[in-house]
Amino acid sequence: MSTQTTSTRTPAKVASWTVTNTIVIIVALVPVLWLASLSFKDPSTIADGSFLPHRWTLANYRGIFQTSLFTRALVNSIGIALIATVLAVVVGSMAAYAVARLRFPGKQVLVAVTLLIAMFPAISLVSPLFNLWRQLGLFDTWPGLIIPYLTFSLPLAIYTLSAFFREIPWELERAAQVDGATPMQAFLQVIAPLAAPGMVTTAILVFIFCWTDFVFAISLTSTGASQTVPAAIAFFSGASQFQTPIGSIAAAGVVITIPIILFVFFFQRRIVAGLTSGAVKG
Amino acid sequence: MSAHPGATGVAQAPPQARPRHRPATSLSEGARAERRLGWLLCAPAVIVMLAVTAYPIGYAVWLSLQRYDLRFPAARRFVGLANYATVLTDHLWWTAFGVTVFIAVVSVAVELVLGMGLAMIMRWALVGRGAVRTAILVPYGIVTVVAAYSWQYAWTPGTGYLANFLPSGSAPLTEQWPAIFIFIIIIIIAAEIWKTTPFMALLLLAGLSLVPEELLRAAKVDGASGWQRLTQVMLPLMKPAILVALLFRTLDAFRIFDNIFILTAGANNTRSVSILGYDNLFTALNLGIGSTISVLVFVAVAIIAFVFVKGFGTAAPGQEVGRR
Amino acid sequence: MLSQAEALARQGKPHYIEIQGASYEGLTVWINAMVLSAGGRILSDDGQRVVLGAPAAKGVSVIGQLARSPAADPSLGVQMEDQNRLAFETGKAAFEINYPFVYPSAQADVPALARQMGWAEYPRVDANLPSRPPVGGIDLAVSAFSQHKEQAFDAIMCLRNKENQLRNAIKGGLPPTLASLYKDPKLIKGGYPFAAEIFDSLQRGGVRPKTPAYQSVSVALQNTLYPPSVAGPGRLGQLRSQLQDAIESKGLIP
Repeated sequence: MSTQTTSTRTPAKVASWTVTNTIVIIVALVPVLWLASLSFKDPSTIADGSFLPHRWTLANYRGIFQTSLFTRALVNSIGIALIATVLAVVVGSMAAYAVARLRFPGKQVLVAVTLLIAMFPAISLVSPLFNLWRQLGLFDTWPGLIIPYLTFSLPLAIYTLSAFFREIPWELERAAQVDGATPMQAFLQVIAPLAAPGMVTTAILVFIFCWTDFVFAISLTSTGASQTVPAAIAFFSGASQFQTPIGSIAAAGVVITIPIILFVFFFQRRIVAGLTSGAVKG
Repeated sequence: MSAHPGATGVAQAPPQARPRHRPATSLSEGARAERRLGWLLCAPAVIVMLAVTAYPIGYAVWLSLQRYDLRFPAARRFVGLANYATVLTDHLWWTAFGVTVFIAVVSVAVELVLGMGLAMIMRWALVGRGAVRTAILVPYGIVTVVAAYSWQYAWTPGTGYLANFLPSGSAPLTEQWPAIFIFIIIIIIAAEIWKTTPFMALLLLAGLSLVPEELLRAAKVDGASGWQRLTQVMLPLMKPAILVALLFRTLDAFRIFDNIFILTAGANNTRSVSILGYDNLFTALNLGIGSTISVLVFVAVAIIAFVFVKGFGTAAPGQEVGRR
Repeated sequence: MLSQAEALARQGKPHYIEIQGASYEGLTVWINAMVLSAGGRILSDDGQRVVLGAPAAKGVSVIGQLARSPAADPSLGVQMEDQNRLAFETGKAAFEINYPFVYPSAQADVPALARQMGWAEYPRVDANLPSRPPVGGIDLAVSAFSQHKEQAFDAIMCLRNKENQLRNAIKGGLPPTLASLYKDPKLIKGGYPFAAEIFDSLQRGGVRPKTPAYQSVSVALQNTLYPPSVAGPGRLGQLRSQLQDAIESKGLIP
């Protein structure tokens, strides 16, 4: 945890923090609770306008797990998002380290091109990408989604990570090398732990991007082999072609938020590990 | 878009910490090794990005130079920049552009302030830190389309809890210009802010965590008030992180799509440039015009990035400001 | 129907006329039905010319009239078929213009209200002209590039066979395409009491404009006559030029 003076933990401070936290949590979570409420509402009362369901039912949840559409999509989502996240952090770290620490020609062009790529509207890339993937046999496969996700999360990954690498003082690396460590060891044992907040932040952002992406998921998948949850939700249907199955959509929305909550809760401690004082002094 | 080196700051490796061991004229063994290593490390990222986007972007640009409507394939022909003239003289484009700019500016500005506050809470919360950090990040983790449905149902009269607060008989998502139009836009902006403030907060938190505690404590000991600590210690040190957060968030905000698509489908002139592009590309199957709109969005976004990089000096790595 | 609704409104009873007024295909369906029922048409038969004209003015003004009357649901401008169904099921409406799927849904969701549900033909615009109810549907086809043409064809024949159409009609309200089913007591007694009216409606049905640029035409219609409260003859000039651009694929579509 950050080096924080805990000596001033007065009751007044605790109280004010509790109030602040409560307000923040309420504002952040009320729409999510509304979603949960919609998912528990009996279908006939969906339009009744009240925040809490008058009639509770688990039918929506039962419904989405009845077919393999949703469960397969969950598996796909988790797998694809995790792999893409790991790859993005690894590949991004390598590039970010090079950008932040090393001198080589073409660096500025690289940064510019990276940004260029992040800027093109995804929807217009979808048709040519679909064509390309179809010809390469990547359509409806896990790599078929992982590669675009990697591509579009690398710019942010590189920017965030290089900002962190930049902040780490040279002396540490020099010191490690003087102590006989190879560059790889210096990186793994000295730099990486210090850049951990950056890596965790990047990991969270990339994971969420892959988890919630809709455009590529819809266009580059078609069966349970690789359809992720947002795409599967788009194929939910109600009793007839006209009914928006808001109950099922809400239930699915709640179910897929749970992994996010777990992922974030697990990693949030590491987001704010600041540079430990003392490593640099002297 | 050729980036001039200075602006990105990457060429300004902190010289004060680099041991100088290379001759000025020719490259030493060390420098060559460094270059090789640099290229090697960057190669995977570059290869992946170029392989995936070179063909699609090139194809989109090429399409924009043609009159190509999938419903009238016989009429396909090369027309040069005529499509651009058509789009740039159409009031639909400029209305969408104005709406997009408005939404982007307002939402990013609000998110910057809120994000800053949330970043501070995430860093220094005394009580329930894990809970509040998780809660803050949850909105960002919800599938945008699902969240948009949640808002749409909330604002529909009779169905939703938020609509209950409005005078009866009004349906905010449908009313016309001019007074209620602002209200619809505000609803869209609110949905956008709720969804993406965590993104800003996270990036700002990353910058905030690089501000040394000792500095803040020293300032407090010196008698600086909370506000002074914020404006004179934290913000200057966070400037690089703030600029990066603003840059990425603005780029995303300009391309807003999902929320508007679900809430209003772009009706009543609430369409953004991305929705206009989608309508022309996928609904009308007019590949020429649709691609033109996409390229124009890209150009607009590139200009924004250019302004940020050149004008505000956004740098990928932080600038050494006041540290040692 | 409008005057009945207004009378009910004066009595303070549920009086809305539920119809799809959101800016989407359903609005085009409504506009088209009104124009056709008034005796006019939107595009010529070959889809090359914009027709509109006086009957269109009449049809379009009815839309505006309804939207501005007390019979209009305040959410008219965002309602699609499903929202209409939901509003009707909560008992706030007196009339509903929708597809037959609302019937099995009401039976399942609100049986007490469903018992009081009646039905009639699509409302007329002109008292002397029979109405032209909207006709839509699903097309099933086999791809010429398919590697399983036989099986696909068999699948289609199965999907549209008698038992399945019967089931779709009773459970989902989907009108069958097999004419013989409409006289079948299994359908009529099984949960499709309005089979005869639907059959008549399909005979008189009005299709939407035929043109490869249909999407643009539809969007032009949705864009000019939205929200429904502004629909009126005054908008036809703008509509005419937008439709002309649409069928020539000129310029942007909104």
